[in-house]
Amino acid sequence: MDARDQQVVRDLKEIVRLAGEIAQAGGPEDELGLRNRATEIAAMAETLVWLVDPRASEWNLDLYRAARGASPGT
Amino acid sequence: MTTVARTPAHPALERMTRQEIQALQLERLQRQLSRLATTNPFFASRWRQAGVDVSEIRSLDDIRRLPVVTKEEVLADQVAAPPYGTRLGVDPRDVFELTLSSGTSGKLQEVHAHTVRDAHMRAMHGIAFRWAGMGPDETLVFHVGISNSASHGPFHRGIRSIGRLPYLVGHLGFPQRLELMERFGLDHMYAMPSALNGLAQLCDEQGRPARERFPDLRSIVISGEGWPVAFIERMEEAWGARIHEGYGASQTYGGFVMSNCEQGALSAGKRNGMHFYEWAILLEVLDPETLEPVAPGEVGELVITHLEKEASPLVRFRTRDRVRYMPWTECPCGRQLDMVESGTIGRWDDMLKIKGQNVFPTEVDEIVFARSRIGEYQVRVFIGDAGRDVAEMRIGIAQGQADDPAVAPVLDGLRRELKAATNVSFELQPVPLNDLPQYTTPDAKPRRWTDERQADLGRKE
Repeated sequence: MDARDQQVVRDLKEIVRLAGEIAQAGGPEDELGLRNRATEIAAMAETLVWLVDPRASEWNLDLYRAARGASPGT
Repeated sequence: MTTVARTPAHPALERMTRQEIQALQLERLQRQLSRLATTNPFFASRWRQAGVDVSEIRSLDDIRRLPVVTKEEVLADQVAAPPYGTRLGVDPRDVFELTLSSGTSGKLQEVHAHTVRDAHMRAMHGIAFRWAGMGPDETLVFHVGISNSASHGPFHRGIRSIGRLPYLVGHLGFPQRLELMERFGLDHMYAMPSALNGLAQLCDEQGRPARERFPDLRSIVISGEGWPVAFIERMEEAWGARIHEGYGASQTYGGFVMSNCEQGALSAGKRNGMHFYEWAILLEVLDPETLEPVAPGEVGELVITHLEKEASPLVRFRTRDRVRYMPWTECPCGRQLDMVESGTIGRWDDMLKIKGQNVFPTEVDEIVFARSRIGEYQVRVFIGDAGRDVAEMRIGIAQGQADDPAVAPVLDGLRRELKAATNVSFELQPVPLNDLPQYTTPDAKPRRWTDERQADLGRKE
Protein backbone atom coordinates (compact mmCIF):
# COMPACT_ATOMS: atom_id res chain seq x y z
CA MET A 1 0.00 0.00 0.00
CA ASP A 2 1.50 3.34 -1.01
CA ALA A 3 1.57 6.55 1.03
CA ARG A 4 -1.54 7.94 -0.69
CA ASP A 5 -3.58 4.83 0.15
CA GLN A 6 -2.35 4.93 3.75
CA GLN A 7 -3.48 8.55 4.05
CA VAL A 8 -6.88 7.67 2.53
CA VAL A 9 -7.34 4.92 5.11
CA ARG A 10 -6.38 7.28 7.97
CA ASP A 11 -8.84 9.91 6.68
CA LEU A 12 -11.63 7.36 6.34
CA LYS A 13 -11.01 6.03 9.84
CA GLU A 14 -11.31 9.59 11.13
CA ILE A 15 -14.65 9.91 9.33
CA VAL A 16 -15.82 6.68 10.98
CA ARG A 17 -14.79 8.01 14.39
CA LEU A 18 -16.45 11.40 13.90
CA ALA A 19 -19.62 9.88 12.43
CA GLY A 20 -19.78 7.56 15.44
CA GLU A 21 -19.60 10.56 17.78
CA ILE A 22 -22.30 12.40 15.84
CA ALA A 23 -24.50 9.30 15.92
CA GLN A 24 -24.28 9.35 19.71
CA ALA A 25 -24.84 13.09 20.01
CA GLY A 26 -28.62 12.89 20.14
CA GLY A 27 -28.60 10.39 22.99
CA PRO A 28 -30.85 7.34 23.32
CA GLU A 29 -33.92 9.25 22.02
CA ASP A 30 -31.98 10.77 19.11
CA GLU A 31 -33.41 14.22 19.76
CA LEU A 32 -31.27 15.74 16.99
CA GLY A 33 -32.39 13.17 14.41
CA LEU A 34 -28.80 12.36 13.51
CA ARG A 35 -28.31 8.77 14.53
CA ASN A 36 -29.32 6.76 11.48
CA ARG A 37 -27.68 8.94 8.88
CA ALA A 38 -24.48 9.36 10.90
CA THR A 39 -24.35 5.59 11.42
CA GLU A 40 -24.74 5.14 7.68
CA ILE A 41 -21.91 7.61 7.01
CA ALA A 42 -19.72 5.57 9.38
CA ALA A 43 -20.66 2.32 7.62
CA MET A 44 -20.01 3.78 4.19
CA ALA A 45 -16.60 5.04 5.29
CA GLU A 46 -15.80 1.69 6.89
CA THR A 47 -16.55 -0.17 3.66
CA LEU A 48 -14.42 2.32 1.74
CA VAL A 49 -11.58 1.46 4.14
CA TRP A 50 -12.20 -2.17 3.16
CA LEU A 51 -11.80 -1.32 -0.53
CA VAL A 52 -8.39 0.25 0.01
CA ASP A 53 -7.04 -1.96 2.81
CA PRO A 54 -9.40 -4.80 3.70
CA ARG A 55 -7.32 -5.85 6.71
CA ALA A 56 -7.87 -2.43 8.28
CA SER A 57 -11.67 -2.65 8.14
CA GLU A 58 -13.48 -3.59 11.34
CA TRP A 59 -16.93 -4.73 12.45
CA ASN A 60 -19.27 -1.79 13.22
CA LEU A 61 -21.33 -3.64 15.84
CA ASP A 62 -19.92 -1.66 18.78
CA LEU A 63 -20.61 1.57 16.92
CA TYR A 64 -24.30 0.66 16.51
CA ARG A 65 -24.57 -0.13 20.24
CA ALA A 66 -22.87 3.09 21.20
CA ALA A 67 -25.15 5.09 18.90
CA ARG A 68 -28.17 3.64 20.71
CA GLY A 69 -26.74 4.83 23.97
CA ALA A 70 -25.60 1.45 25.23
CA SER A 71 -21.99 0.96 26.15
CA PRO A 72 -19.89 -1.13 23.75
CA GLY A 73 -20.04 -4.82 24.45
CA THR A 74 -23.47 -4.77 26.11
CA MET B 1 1.21 -7.27 -7.55
CA THR B 2 -0.21 -8.41 -10.85
CA THR B 3 -0.92 -6.55 -14.05
CA VAL B 4 -4.62 -6.11 -14.32
CA ALA B 5 -7.35 -4.76 -16.08
CA ARG B 6 -8.25 -1.86 -18.22
CA THR B 7 -11.07 -1.06 -15.82
CA PRO B 8 -10.32 -2.15 -12.26
CA ALA B 9 -13.22 -1.37 -9.96
CA HIS B 10 -10.99 -1.45 -6.90
CA PRO B 11 -7.29 -1.56 -7.77
CA ALA B 12 -6.00 -2.50 -4.30
CA LEU B 13 -8.17 -5.60 -4.31
CA GLU B 14 -7.91 -6.58 -7.95
CA ARG B 15 -4.13 -6.48 -8.12
CA MET B 16 -3.64 -8.95 -5.27
CA THR B 17 -1.71 -12.10 -6.06
CA ARG B 18 -3.32 -15.47 -5.42
CA GLN B 19 -1.19 -15.82 -2.31
CA GLU B 20 -2.27 -12.41 -1.00
CA ILE B 21 -5.94 -13.19 -1.67
CA GLN B 22 -5.71 -16.48 0.20
CA ALA B 23 -3.87 -14.88 3.13
CA LEU B 24 -6.61 -12.24 3.35
CA GLN B 25 -9.31 -14.91 3.19
CA LEU B 26 -7.74 -16.94 5.98
CA GLU B 27 -7.35 -13.91 8.23
CA ARG B 28 -10.94 -12.77 7.67
CA LEU B 29 -12.28 -16.33 7.99
CA GLN B 30 -10.59 -16.79 11.36
CA ARG B 31 -11.93 -13.42 12.51
CA GLN B 32 -15.46 -14.33 11.41
CA LEU B 33 -15.40 -17.83 12.95
CA SER B 34 -14.03 -16.52 16.23
CA ARG B 35 -16.86 -13.95 16.45
CA LEU B 36 -19.62 -16.38 15.48
CA ALA B 37 -18.44 -19.05 17.92
CA THR B 38 -19.30 -16.70 20.79
CA THR B 39 -22.15 -14.58 19.41
CA ASN B 40 -24.12 -16.68 16.93
CA PRO B 41 -26.15 -19.51 18.53
CA PHE B 42 -26.96 -21.14 15.17
CA PHE B 43 -23.34 -21.75 14.23
CA ALA B 44 -21.94 -22.09 17.76
CA SER B 45 -24.23 -25.05 18.50
CA ARG B 46 -23.54 -26.75 15.16
CA TRP B 47 -19.80 -26.48 15.57
CA ARG B 48 -20.01 -27.73 19.15
CA GLN B 49 -22.06 -30.73 18.02
CA ALA B 50 -19.51 -31.42 15.28
CA GLY B 51 -16.72 -31.29 17.87
CA VAL B 52 -14.91 -28.47 16.04
CA ASP B 53 -12.97 -25.82 17.93
CA VAL B 54 -12.73 -22.89 15.50
CA SER B 55 -9.39 -21.82 16.94
CA GLU B 56 -8.01 -24.93 15.26
CA ILE B 57 -8.93 -23.65 11.77
CA ARG B 58 -5.44 -22.68 10.65
CA SER B 59 -5.67 -22.98 6.85
CA LEU B 60 -8.31 -22.50 4.17
CA ASP B 61 -8.39 -26.28 3.71
CA ASP B 62 -9.33 -26.61 7.39
CA ILE B 63 -12.72 -25.08 6.59
CA ARG B 64 -13.76 -28.54 5.45
CA ARG B 65 -13.74 -29.59 9.11
CA LEU B 66 -16.79 -27.37 9.62
CA PRO B 67 -20.18 -28.90 8.81
CA VAL B 68 -22.06 -27.69 5.74
CA VAL B 69 -25.39 -25.92 6.22
CA THR B 70 -28.49 -26.55 4.11
CA LYS B 71 -31.46 -24.41 3.15
CA GLU B 72 -33.65 -26.76 5.21
CA GLU B 73 -31.58 -26.05 8.35
CA VAL B 74 -31.81 -22.30 7.76
CA LEU B 75 -35.59 -22.52 7.33
CA ALA B 76 -36.01 -24.71 10.43
CA ASP B 77 -34.06 -22.13 12.45
CA GLN B 78 -36.38 -19.38 11.19
CA VAL B 79 -39.43 -21.40 12.20
CA ALA B 80 -37.98 -22.01 15.67
CA ALA B 81 -36.99 -18.37 16.22
CA PRO B 82 -39.04 -16.15 13.88
CA PRO B 83 -38.60 -14.03 11.91
CA TYR B 84 -34.82 -14.12 11.47
CA GLY B 85 -33.75 -17.33 13.20
CA THR B 86 -30.91 -17.56 15.72
CA ARG B 87 -28.54 -17.18 12.75
CA LEU B 88 -29.23 -13.42 12.83
CA GLY B 89 -26.49 -13.02 15.45
CA VAL B 90 -26.94 -9.25 15.98
CA ASP B 91 -29.42 -7.01 17.82
CA PRO B 92 -32.63 -7.00 15.70
CA ARG B 93 -32.56 -3.20 15.94
CA ASP B 94 -29.39 -3.33 13.84
CA VAL B 95 -31.25 -4.84 10.86
CA PHE B 96 -31.07 -2.17 8.15
CA GLU B 97 -32.22 -4.14 5.07
CA LEU B 98 -33.63 -7.57 4.27
CA THR B 99 -33.33 -9.92 1.36
CA LEU B 100 -36.08 -12.50 0.97
CA SER B 101 -35.46 -15.49 -1.26
CA SER B 102 -37.84 -15.75 -4.19
CA GLY B 103 -39.48 -18.89 -2.75
CA THR B 104 -42.69 -20.33 -4.09
CA SER B 105 -46.18 -20.63 -2.71
CA GLY B 106 -46.40 -23.18 0.05
CA LYS B 107 -42.71 -22.93 0.83
CA LEU B 108 -40.96 -20.67 3.30
CA GLN B 109 -38.78 -17.87 2.12
CA GLU B 110 -35.30 -17.56 3.54
CA VAL B 111 -34.72 -14.30 5.41
CA HIS B 112 -31.31 -12.68 5.12
CA ALA B 113 -30.85 -9.60 7.29
CA HIS B 114 -28.20 -6.95 6.70
CA THR B 115 -26.72 -4.36 9.06
CA VAL B 116 -25.90 -0.97 7.62
CA ARG B 117 -22.27 -2.06 7.09
CA ASP B 118 -23.51 -5.21 5.34
CA ALA B 119 -25.72 -3.01 3.17
CA HIS B 120 -22.76 -0.94 2.05
CA MET B 121 -20.65 -4.06 1.52
CA ARG B 122 -23.40 -5.06 -0.90
CA ALA B 123 -22.22 -2.20 -3.11
CA MET B 124 -19.57 -4.61 -4.39
CA HIS B 125 -22.38 -5.68 -6.72
CA GLY B 126 -21.26 -2.64 -8.74
CA ILE B 127 -18.00 -4.36 -9.66
CA ALA B 128 -19.83 -6.20 -12.45
CA PHE B 129 -20.81 -2.92 -14.07
CA ARG B 130 -17.35 -1.39 -13.79
CA TRP B 131 -15.80 -4.48 -15.33
CA ALA B 132 -18.40 -4.19 -18.09
CA GLY B 133 -16.96 -0.73 -18.81
CA MET B 134 -19.23 1.67 -16.92
CA GLY B 135 -17.67 4.98 -15.88
CA PRO B 136 -18.72 7.43 -13.15
CA ASP B 137 -20.58 9.81 -15.49
CA GLU B 138 -22.37 7.11 -17.46
CA THR B 139 -26.01 6.05 -17.23
CA LEU B 140 -27.36 2.58 -16.68
CA VAL B 141 -30.93 1.42 -17.16
CA PHE B 142 -32.05 -1.30 -14.77
CA HIS B 143 -34.90 -3.49 -15.99
CA VAL B 144 -36.16 -4.83 -12.66
CA GLY B 145 -38.79 -3.45 -10.31
CA ILE B 146 -37.89 -2.80 -6.66
CA SER B 147 -38.77 -5.52 -4.16
CA ASN B 148 -37.20 -7.42 -1.25
CA SER B 149 -35.00 -9.32 -3.70
CA ALA B 150 -31.52 -8.24 -4.74
CA SER B 151 -33.13 -5.46 -6.78
CA HIS B 152 -33.51 -3.41 -3.61
CA GLY B 153 -30.08 -2.77 -2.09
CA PRO B 154 -27.28 -4.27 -4.15
CA PHE B 155 -28.37 -3.17 -7.59
CA HIS B 156 -29.19 0.40 -6.71
CA ARG B 157 -26.31 0.94 -4.28
CA GLY B 158 -23.86 -1.04 -6.41
CA ILE B 159 -24.72 0.68 -9.69
CA ARG B 160 -24.64 4.12 -8.07
CA SER B 161 -21.24 3.39 -6.51
CA ILE B 162 -19.83 3.00 -10.02
CA GLY B 163 -21.97 5.14 -12.32
CA ARG B 164 -25.38 6.83 -12.64
CA LEU B 165 -28.86 5.37 -12.28
CA PRO B 166 -30.98 8.49 -12.71
CA TYR B 167 -34.30 6.92 -13.73
CA LEU B 168 -36.15 3.66 -13.13
CA VAL B 169 -38.05 1.53 -15.65
CA GLY B 170 -38.54 -1.85 -13.96
CA HIS B 171 -42.09 -1.01 -12.86
CA LEU B 172 -43.21 -0.27 -16.44
CA GLY B 173 -44.30 -2.30 -19.45
CA PHE B 174 -41.80 -2.80 -22.28
CA PRO B 175 -43.21 -0.03 -24.58
CA GLN B 176 -43.00 2.58 -21.80
CA ARG B 177 -39.47 1.44 -20.91
CA LEU B 178 -38.29 1.96 -24.48
CA GLU B 179 -39.83 5.45 -24.51
CA LEU B 180 -37.98 6.48 -21.32
CA MET B 181 -34.72 5.00 -22.58
CA GLU B 182 -34.98 7.15 -25.72
CA ARG B 183 -35.94 10.22 -23.74
CA PHE B 184 -33.17 10.13 -21.13
CA GLY B 185 -30.56 8.03 -22.89
CA LEU B 186 -28.37 5.18 -21.68
CA ASP B 187 -24.83 3.88 -21.95
CA HIS B 188 -25.29 0.53 -20.17
CA MET B 189 -28.16 -1.76 -19.29
CA TYR B 190 -29.04 -4.59 -16.90
CA ALA B 191 -31.77 -7.07 -17.82
CA MET B 192 -32.70 -10.68 -17.26
CA PRO B 193 -32.11 -12.67 -20.50
CA SER B 194 -35.85 -13.06 -21.11
CA ALA B 195 -36.42 -9.30 -20.82
CA LEU B 196 -33.46 -8.60 -23.09
CA ASN B 197 -34.99 -10.86 -25.72
CA GLY B 198 -38.48 -9.39 -25.27
CA LEU B 199 -37.25 -5.81 -25.58
CA ALA B 200 -35.25 -6.62 -28.71
CA GLN B 201 -38.29 -8.32 -30.26
CA LEU B 202 -40.46 -5.30 -29.47
CA CYS B 203 -37.92 -2.98 -31.10
CA ASP B 204 -38.06 -5.16 -34.23
CA GLU B 205 -41.86 -5.26 -34.22
CA GLN B 206 -41.90 -1.45 -33.99
CA GLY B 207 -39.63 -1.33 -37.04
CA ARG B 208 -36.71 0.22 -35.16
CA PRO B 209 -34.07 -2.39 -34.34
CA ALA B 210 -32.46 -2.01 -30.90
CA ARG B 211 -28.94 -1.29 -32.15
CA GLU B 212 -30.20 1.59 -34.32
CA ARG B 213 -32.53 2.92 -31.65
CA PHE B 214 -29.88 2.97 -28.88
CA PRO B 215 -26.57 3.65 -30.62
CA ASP B 216 -24.85 4.81 -27.40
CA LEU B 217 -25.45 1.52 -25.60
CA ARG B 218 -22.05 -0.07 -24.87
CA SER B 219 -22.63 -2.92 -22.44
CA ILE B 220 -25.37 -5.14 -21.10
CA VAL B 221 -25.14 -7.09 -17.84
CA ILE B 222 -27.42 -10.10 -17.39
CA SER B 223 -28.00 -12.64 -14.63
CA GLY B 224 -30.53 -15.10 -13.32
CA GLU B 225 -30.71 -17.70 -16.08
CA GLY B 226 -28.41 -19.99 -18.03
CA TRP B 227 -28.01 -19.22 -21.71
CA PRO B 228 -26.82 -20.81 -24.93
CA VAL B 229 -23.87 -19.30 -26.79
CA ALA B 230 -26.09 -18.59 -29.81
CA PHE B 231 -28.45 -16.51 -27.64
CA ILE B 232 -25.67 -14.21 -26.48
CA GLU B 233 -24.32 -13.86 -30.02
CA ARG B 234 -27.81 -13.01 -31.28
CA MET B 235 -28.43 -10.46 -28.50
CA GLU B 236 -25.01 -8.81 -28.95
CA GLU B 237 -25.84 -8.43 -32.63
CA ALA B 238 -29.37 -7.15 -31.92
CA TRP B 239 -28.27 -4.55 -29.37
CA GLY B 240 -24.82 -3.73 -30.77
CA ALA B 241 -23.30 -4.08 -27.29
CA ARG B 242 -21.13 -6.57 -25.45
CA ILE B 243 -22.92 -8.78 -22.93
CA HIS B 244 -21.53 -9.56 -19.47
CA GLU B 245 -22.93 -11.87 -16.81
CA GLY B 246 -23.10 -11.62 -13.03
CA TYR B 247 -24.15 -14.20 -10.45
CA GLY B 248 -25.77 -13.61 -7.10
CA ALA B 249 -28.36 -15.21 -4.87
CA SER B 250 -30.33 -14.36 -1.76
CA GLN B 251 -27.58 -16.09 0.21
CA THR B 252 -24.73 -14.05 -1.30
CA TYR B 253 -25.42 -10.72 0.43
CA GLY B 254 -28.37 -10.69 -2.00
CA GLY B 255 -26.10 -9.35 -4.71
CA PHE B 256 -23.45 -10.39 -7.20
CA VAL B 257 -20.43 -12.23 -5.85
CA MET B 258 -18.95 -13.00 -9.25
CA SER B 259 -19.05 -11.57 -12.75
CA ASN B 260 -17.29 -11.48 -16.09
CA CYS B 261 -14.35 -9.10 -16.40
CA GLU B 262 -13.68 -6.96 -19.49
CA GLN B 263 -13.64 -10.14 -21.56
CA GLY B 264 -17.45 -10.34 -21.39
CA ALA B 265 -19.56 -13.47 -21.40
CA LEU B 266 -18.10 -14.82 -24.64
CA SER B 267 -14.83 -14.61 -26.52
CA ALA B 268 -14.89 -15.88 -30.11
CA GLY B 269 -17.88 -18.09 -29.43
CA LYS B 270 -16.38 -19.60 -26.27
CA ARG B 271 -17.82 -19.15 -22.79
CA ASN B 272 -15.68 -17.06 -20.42
CA GLY B 273 -15.61 -17.37 -16.64
CA MET B 274 -17.10 -15.19 -13.90
CA HIS B 275 -14.47 -14.12 -11.36
CA PHE B 276 -15.38 -14.62 -7.68
CA TYR B 277 -15.27 -11.53 -5.42
CA GLU B 278 -13.04 -13.55 -3.14
CA TRP B 279 -12.06 -10.71 -0.83
CA ALA B 280 -15.49 -10.82 0.84
CA ILE B 281 -16.77 -14.31 0.24
CA LEU B 282 -15.19 -17.73 0.20
CA LEU B 283 -16.60 -19.94 -2.54
CA GLU B 284 -16.05 -23.68 -2.70
CA VAL B 285 -17.02 -25.87 -5.67
CA LEU B 286 -17.62 -29.33 -4.22
CA ASP B 287 -18.70 -32.74 -5.39
CA PRO B 288 -22.27 -32.89 -3.99
CA GLU B 289 -21.83 -36.52 -2.89
CA THR B 290 -18.35 -36.47 -1.33
CA LEU B 291 -18.18 -32.72 -0.48
CA GLU B 292 -14.59 -32.74 -1.75
CA PRO B 293 -13.37 -29.97 -4.13
CA VAL B 294 -13.80 -30.71 -7.83
CA ALA B 295 -10.94 -30.40 -10.32
CA PRO B 296 -10.71 -27.56 -12.87
CA GLY B 297 -13.30 -28.05 -15.61
CA GLU B 298 -15.48 -30.30 -13.48
CA VAL B 299 -19.02 -29.60 -12.36
CA GLY B 300 -19.79 -29.23 -8.65
CA GLU B 301 -22.03 -27.52 -6.11
CA LEU B 302 -21.33 -23.95 -5.06
CA VAL B 303 -20.85 -23.64 -1.28
CA ILE B 304 -20.52 -20.15 0.21
CA THR B 305 -19.01 -18.60 3.33
CA HIS B 306 -19.34 -14.91 4.21
CA LEU B 307 -16.08 -13.40 5.39
CA GLU B 308 -17.37 -9.90 6.19
CA LYS B 309 -21.05 -10.19 6.98
CA GLU B 310 -22.30 -8.99 10.37
CA ALA B 311 -25.99 -10.08 10.32
CA SER B 312 -27.37 -13.45 9.13
CA PRO B 313 -23.95 -14.79 8.15
CA LEU B 314 -23.53 -18.08 6.34
CA VAL B 315 -20.65 -20.48 6.77
CA ARG B 316 -20.44 -23.34 4.26
CA PHE B 317 -23.96 -22.93 2.91
CA ARG B 318 -24.91 -25.42 0.19
CA THR B 319 -26.52 -23.35 -2.57
CA ARG B 320 -27.56 -26.43 -4.64
CA ASP B 321 -26.33 -24.39 -7.63
CA ARG B 322 -24.52 -26.53 -10.19
CA VAL B 323 -21.44 -24.77 -11.56
CA ARG B 324 -18.40 -25.60 -13.67
CA TYR B 325 -15.18 -24.59 -11.88
CA MET B 326 -12.52 -22.64 -13.80
CA PRO B 327 -9.21 -21.58 -12.19
CA TRP B 328 -8.13 -17.95 -12.55
CA THR B 329 -5.33 -18.96 -14.90
CA GLU B 330 -7.89 -19.52 -17.67
CA CYS B 331 -8.61 -15.79 -18.00
CA PRO B 332 -6.09 -13.42 -19.65
CA CYS B 333 -7.21 -10.35 -17.62
CA GLY B 334 -4.60 -10.86 -14.88
CA ARG B 335 -6.93 -10.95 -11.89
CA GLN B 336 -6.00 -13.94 -9.77
CA LEU B 337 -9.61 -14.61 -8.82
CA ASP B 338 -11.03 -18.06 -9.50
CA MET B 339 -14.09 -18.46 -11.70
CA VAL B 340 -17.04 -20.54 -12.77
CA GLU B 341 -18.14 -20.90 -16.35
CA SER B 342 -20.61 -18.32 -17.63
CA GLY B 343 -24.09 -19.27 -18.74
CA THR B 344 -24.15 -22.84 -17.43
CA ILE B 345 -25.19 -22.39 -13.79
CA GLY B 346 -28.11 -24.67 -13.05
CA ARG B 347 -29.75 -26.30 -10.04
CA TRP B 348 -28.93 -29.77 -8.73
CA ASP B 349 -32.51 -29.77 -7.43
CA ASP B 350 -33.84 -29.22 -10.95
CA MET B 351 -32.54 -32.45 -12.43
CA LEU B 352 -35.37 -34.70 -13.55
CA LYS B 353 -35.22 -38.38 -14.27
CA ILE B 354 -37.36 -38.92 -17.37
CA LYS B 355 -37.62 -42.38 -18.88
CA GLY B 356 -34.58 -43.29 -16.81
CA GLN B 357 -32.47 -40.45 -18.22
CA ASN B 358 -31.00 -37.55 -16.20
CA VAL B 359 -32.31 -34.33 -17.76
CA PHE B 360 -30.98 -30.93 -16.68
CA PRO B 361 -33.28 -28.02 -17.58
CA THR B 362 -30.31 -25.72 -18.26
CA GLU B 363 -29.15 -28.13 -20.95
CA VAL B 364 -32.61 -27.98 -22.53
CA ASP B 365 -32.64 -24.15 -22.22
CA GLU B 366 -29.46 -24.03 -24.24
CA ILE B 367 -30.94 -26.09 -27.05
CA VAL B 368 -34.33 -24.36 -27.16
CA PHE B 369 -33.16 -20.77 -26.89
CA ALA B 370 -30.53 -21.19 -29.58
CA ARG B 371 -33.50 -20.84 -31.96
CA SER B 372 -34.45 -17.20 -32.52
CA ARG B 373 -38.10 -17.97 -33.39
CA ILE B 374 -38.69 -19.47 -29.94
CA GLY B 375 -39.32 -16.95 -27.16
CA GLU B 376 -40.25 -19.22 -24.24
CA TYR B 377 -41.18 -22.79 -23.39
CA GLN B 378 -42.89 -24.91 -20.74
CA VAL B 379 -42.50 -28.63 -20.09
CA ARG B 380 -45.03 -30.87 -18.38
CA VAL B 381 -43.84 -34.35 -17.41
CA PHE B 382 -46.62 -36.79 -16.67
CA ILE B 383 -47.51 -40.47 -16.90
CA GLY B 384 -49.27 -41.17 -20.19
CA ASP B 385 -52.03 -43.64 -21.00
CA ALA B 386 -49.46 -46.35 -21.71
CA GLY B 387 -48.13 -45.92 -18.17
CA ARG B 388 -44.89 -44.38 -19.36
CA ASP B 389 -43.30 -40.96 -18.82
CA VAL B 390 -44.37 -38.30 -21.31
CA ALA B 391 -42.48 -35.00 -21.68
CA GLU B 392 -44.75 -32.46 -23.35
CA MET B 393 -43.10 -29.22 -24.37
CA ARG B 394 -45.14 -26.13 -25.27
CA ILE B 395 -43.11 -23.88 -27.52
CA GLY B 396 -43.86 -20.13 -27.49
CA ILE B 397 -43.68 -18.71 -31.00
CA ALA B 398 -43.65 -14.93 -31.48
CA GLN B 399 -46.90 -13.21 -32.32
CA GLY B 400 -48.05 -13.77 -35.92
CA GLN B 401 -45.43 -16.44 -36.66
CA ALA B 402 -47.20 -19.55 -35.34
CA ASP B 403 -48.54 -20.44 -38.83
CA ASP B 404 -45.35 -19.48 -40.63
CA PRO B 405 -44.20 -22.48 -42.75
CA ALA B 406 -40.64 -21.83 -41.58
CA VAL B 407 -41.61 -22.88 -38.04
CA ALA B 408 -42.10 -26.61 -38.81
CA PRO B 409 -38.45 -27.27 -39.76
CA VAL B 410 -37.34 -25.38 -36.63
CA LEU B 411 -39.43 -27.73 -34.50
CA ASP B 412 -38.15 -30.80 -36.36
CA GLY B 413 -34.57 -29.75 -35.71
CA LEU B 414 -35.37 -29.00 -32.08
CA ARG B 415 -36.97 -32.43 -31.58
CA ARG B 416 -33.90 -34.17 -33.01
CA GLU B 417 -31.41 -32.15 -30.99
CA LEU B 418 -33.31 -32.65 -27.73
CA LYS B 419 -33.40 -36.40 -28.34
CA ALA B 420 -29.67 -36.49 -29.11
CA ALA B 421 -28.77 -34.49 -26.00
CA THR B 422 -31.11 -36.08 -23.45
CA ASN B 423 -32.13 -39.42 -24.99
CA VAL B 424 -35.73 -38.39 -24.31
CA SER B 425 -38.35 -37.82 -27.03
CA PHE B 426 -40.23 -34.59 -26.30
CA GLU B 427 -43.74 -34.04 -27.66
CA LEU B 428 -43.59 -30.51 -29.08
CA GLN B 429 -46.61 -28.26 -29.27
CA PRO B 430 -46.27 -24.73 -30.74
CA VAL B 431 -48.38 -22.07 -28.99
CA PRO B 432 -48.53 -18.24 -29.15
CA LEU B 433 -45.74 -16.76 -27.03
CA ASN B 434 -48.23 -14.75 -24.95
CA ASP B 435 -49.86 -17.99 -23.73
CA LEU B 436 -46.75 -18.81 -21.69
CA PRO B 437 -45.45 -17.14 -18.50
CA GLN B 438 -42.69 -14.57 -19.10
CA TYR B 439 -39.72 -14.41 -16.72
CA THR B 440 -38.27 -10.94 -16.78
CA THR B 441 -37.33 -10.16 -13.17
CA PRO B 442 -35.25 -11.95 -10.49
CA ASP B 443 -38.49 -12.28 -8.48
CA ALA B 444 -39.96 -14.39 -11.25
CA LYS B 445 -37.36 -17.14 -11.42
CA PRO B 446 -38.00 -19.30 -14.46
CA ARG B 447 -40.15 -22.29 -13.57
CA ARG B 448 -40.54 -23.92 -16.91
CA TRP B 449 -40.84 -27.52 -15.74
CA THR B 450 -43.76 -29.24 -13.99
CA ASP B 451 -43.52 -32.83 -12.85
CA GLU B 452 -46.98 -34.35 -12.37
CA ARG B 453 -45.88 -37.98 -12.13
CA GLN B 454 -46.27 -38.40 -8.38
CA ALA B 455 -49.82 -37.05 -8.53
CA ASP B 456 -50.49 -39.29 -11.57
CA LEU B 457 -49.26 -42.31 -9.66
CA GLY B 458 -51.52 -41.38 -6.76
CA ARG B 459 -54.52 -41.30 -9.07
CA LYS B 460 -53.61 -44.55 -10.84
CA GLU B 461 -53.05 -46.61 -7.72
